Formats: sequence, structure tokens, C-alpha cells
Amino acid sequence: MSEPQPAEPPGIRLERTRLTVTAGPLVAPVLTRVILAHASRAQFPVDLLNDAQLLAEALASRAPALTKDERVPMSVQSEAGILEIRVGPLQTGGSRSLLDAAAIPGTGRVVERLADEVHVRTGASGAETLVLVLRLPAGRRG
Amino acid sequence: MMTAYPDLELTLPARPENVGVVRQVLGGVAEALALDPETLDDVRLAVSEACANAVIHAYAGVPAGLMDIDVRTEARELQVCVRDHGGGMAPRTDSPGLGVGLPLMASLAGSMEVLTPHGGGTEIRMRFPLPEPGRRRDHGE
Repeated sequence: MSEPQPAEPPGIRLERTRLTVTAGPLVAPVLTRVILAHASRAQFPVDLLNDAQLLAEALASRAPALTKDERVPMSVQSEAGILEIRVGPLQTGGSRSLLDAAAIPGTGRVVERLADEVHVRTGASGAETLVLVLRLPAGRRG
Repeated sequence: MMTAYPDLELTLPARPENVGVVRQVLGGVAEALALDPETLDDVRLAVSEACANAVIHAYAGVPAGLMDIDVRTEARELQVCVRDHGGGMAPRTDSPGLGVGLPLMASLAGSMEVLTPHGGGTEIRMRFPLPEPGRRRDHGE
């Protein structure tokens, strides 16, 4: 995992889908569908779509307990061959807790194994944003 | 009385491809609430129309801005609010649509309001009554 980076300055990012879901039954189905819609738009093949779904399920099951107010904020952006997911703001240390919690004995830390890049951005208040990037290798792009 | 925060807030560029994302999200809401297929069809069609209005009309002649979709569930009612930050509702002689969007939304939702927010744009609030869990709606209800 990369070193913490400064938080991105606030402002409207027109290309992103942003959503905030109250902890509860909506989180898993909504997060999963938004991530898969963008993964599909990124022209991912079926194995990477499966990775994106596993990632979405891991985030949906762990993130609600790690946010500041039991509401899960997330943004997703995609372009051909690339999917970026941001989760947060999370509590201080929330990113690490999420990555640790999504570990399976014998398999390891699922999120870090599925994502090609994992970054943690830390704001001045200590709130964290977990940034995950999935990439379709250049050799597999059409 | 609406709660302080919606159960779901979604903000995305008002572009045609994102209407599909909104429809996907509504599918997730339906899964969570165990909505019957007929109700989901009505909600999807009405909300898609509202989003299409934002895509086609809100930012006509200027670069596309954002659309916001809020979803609340209260008792046996689903509330969906679609808001844009464009130029507001105005007659268009060059409109590419048939002009059936608003009547369609009104017929599909239990109730509908069209508002002009303080900061501009257009806000469409729709309320969909939900059948009791395990009951499907009768056609024509």
C-alpha cells in the first residue's frame, strides 16, 4: 500500500458518480450495482468483472462500520480499461481496518489482492479516503 | 415529513449513459426492499424520464452539469427526488421530445411535484406507494 497522500482539494468532479448510502440493507445491492455498471463501462472482461464484484462486496460488508456517521460515501469513475473506486471519508485508521478485515485465511487481504492499486488519502482532519484502482492489462485491451 | 438525510444520495453527470447507472441503482433499491417487478418497472420508468429530462433539457446549449437523485423509504412509500442545476423549466420550440415525460411520471407515481429550487434548476419529487411485503400490485392499481 502506498504512503498516505494529501486529500484531494474539494470541488466538483464532473466525471465521477458519487453516492452516499445509509448503513443498512441498501448498501450492498447499490454499491455492487454502481461498481459493476462502471466496470462494464470500462469494458472489463468477465474475470475482471468478477474481481470488481468481489471488491464491491468486500467494501459493502466492511465500510459501514468504519465511516464517521454510518453513511457510506463512495465515488466511482471509469474509462476504457480502468476503474477507480474511492470510499470515504472513513474514520482515522478506517482504511487499514477495512483492508485488514477483508482478509481470508489462506488467501490473504482480499481487497489488496483484487485491486491493482491501493492508496489512502488523509485529510487535515484525519479522515481517510481509500482509493482502489482496477486495470485491464494493456495486452488484453481490444 | 422527510428525514434529515436520504437513505441514498447519488450525484452524477447528466449524460445519457448515466441514466443506465440510475436504473441499476434502482434495481439495487428494489432488491433491498423486495419490491415486486411491477412496482420496480413503474419506478424505473418514471425516474428514467426525470433523468432523461435533466440530460436533454437542463443543460441545453451549455456543457452538461450534474444531476442528483435522492431516495428515501418511509413506511410503505418510496420517495425519489431528481434534481438538476440547469436553467430551469421553460418551453422549448426545438425540444426533441414528445412532451409526454411529465404526464407519464405523474401517471406512474402516486404523487409528483415539480419545484424550482432556490439556487436554480429543476427538482422533481415523486412518491411511490409500496404494496405490503409479499403482495404484488394488481394491474391498473
